[in-house]
Amino acid sequence: MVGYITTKKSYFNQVQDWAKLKVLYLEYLRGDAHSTSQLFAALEKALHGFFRNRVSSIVDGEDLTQACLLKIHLARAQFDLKKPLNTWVFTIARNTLTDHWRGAEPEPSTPLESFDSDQDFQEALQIPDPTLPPDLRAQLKFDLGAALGILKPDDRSIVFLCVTQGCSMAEVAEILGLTETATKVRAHRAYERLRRHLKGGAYIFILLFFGEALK
Amino acid sequence: MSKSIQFIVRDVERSRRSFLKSVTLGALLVLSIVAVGLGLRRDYVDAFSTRNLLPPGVMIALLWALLFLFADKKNRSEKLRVRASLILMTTALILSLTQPHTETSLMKFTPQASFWPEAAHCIGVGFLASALASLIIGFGAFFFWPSPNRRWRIVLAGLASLSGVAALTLHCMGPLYSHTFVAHWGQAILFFPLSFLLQSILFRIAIQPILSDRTNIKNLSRL
Repeated sequence: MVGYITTKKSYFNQVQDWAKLKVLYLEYLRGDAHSTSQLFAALEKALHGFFRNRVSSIVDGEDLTQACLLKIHLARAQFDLKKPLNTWVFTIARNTLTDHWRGAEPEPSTPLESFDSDQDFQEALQIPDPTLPPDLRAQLKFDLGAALGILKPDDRSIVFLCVTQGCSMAEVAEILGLTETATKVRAHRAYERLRRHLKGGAYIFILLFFGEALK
Repeated sequence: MSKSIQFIVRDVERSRRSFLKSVTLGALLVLSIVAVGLGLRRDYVDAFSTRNLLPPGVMIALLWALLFLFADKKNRSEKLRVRASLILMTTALILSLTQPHTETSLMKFTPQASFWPEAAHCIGVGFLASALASLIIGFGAFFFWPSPNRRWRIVLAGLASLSGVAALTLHCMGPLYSHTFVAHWGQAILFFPLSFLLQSILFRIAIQPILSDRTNIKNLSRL
């Protein structure tokens, strides 16, 4: 328990710093090649995690990530600088996903591959925090991976956006095209399902971060 | 660094150095319009009078300015730039109607039977000018300018079609309005989808190497 709580601070330091990415975005618009590669490398990582939570195949996830980066680049001048970058990026990602599903064969709602292999969640959990014992961390990864697999695709997106991207409920609602109330209800249900499947520490871990986003 | 990021970085670097290229390609575009418009004339009666040269001259200047709106390296609001391009294109189209009608210019339409042969001739000349412009613009967008999105591909296709109208305004001075509508504007309407298709093919060729074969390219064509 103590390990999880001390992890919380360092965990949030690891969450994508969207304010910093927005600065890089401005540099990218000015034509700075170095900022562009930095920005898109960060976006690639975030988007890869998002897509891997929604499609069953790793290759599909990678293809969608590349397509989404291209869409962001071609729509770069349409971004309203007064609005948050994460909402805009993940809205494009959601639309890319919708395009992918359009005309494609339906996928099972539960991913075929274990979430243990989910790189983004793994990375999010591999926090260099000396206070978290390795065996506890391994157990946490296993529990979380198993529990996320039972969630519905949209619910996985909600957990992903809140936990690994640090999005607020209002931002998640905008990205997924839902109302804030509906997102909160879905988040609550996802959180209930996680509670039923997770035991002890892993549940507290989710509770801490998810609870933070629900505020 | 993944292929798509390399592609994006290359595109960004292109947009930084697009000014001189826009000037050069714009000059090529103007040359092609003038060469087809004046080069294929049957006679040069009144061809170099100010009243006849002014409207196509302004049209060509507007079309050249449109290239700079597209290759704007400061990435100003796209909505504003696209709206400005539409205004430029509409103004250019209206200018094609402003040449004064004279006896000389109307003479070739005096036997009414010559209306359709003249229209067919102008459509051919317009197609030639539009095709040249389309190749120059496509070449620029493929090799020198940042990759255009769908909205800009539509604008560039419109620019290529209007280049044909500008060439015809130089070629066929102060004709009947009915001839302008049918032949000059008609060729632009006929050529527009072809030019857009060319832009789309070039765009696909550009993005194909960075995406795997499994990617749904059909959806990406809406980019």
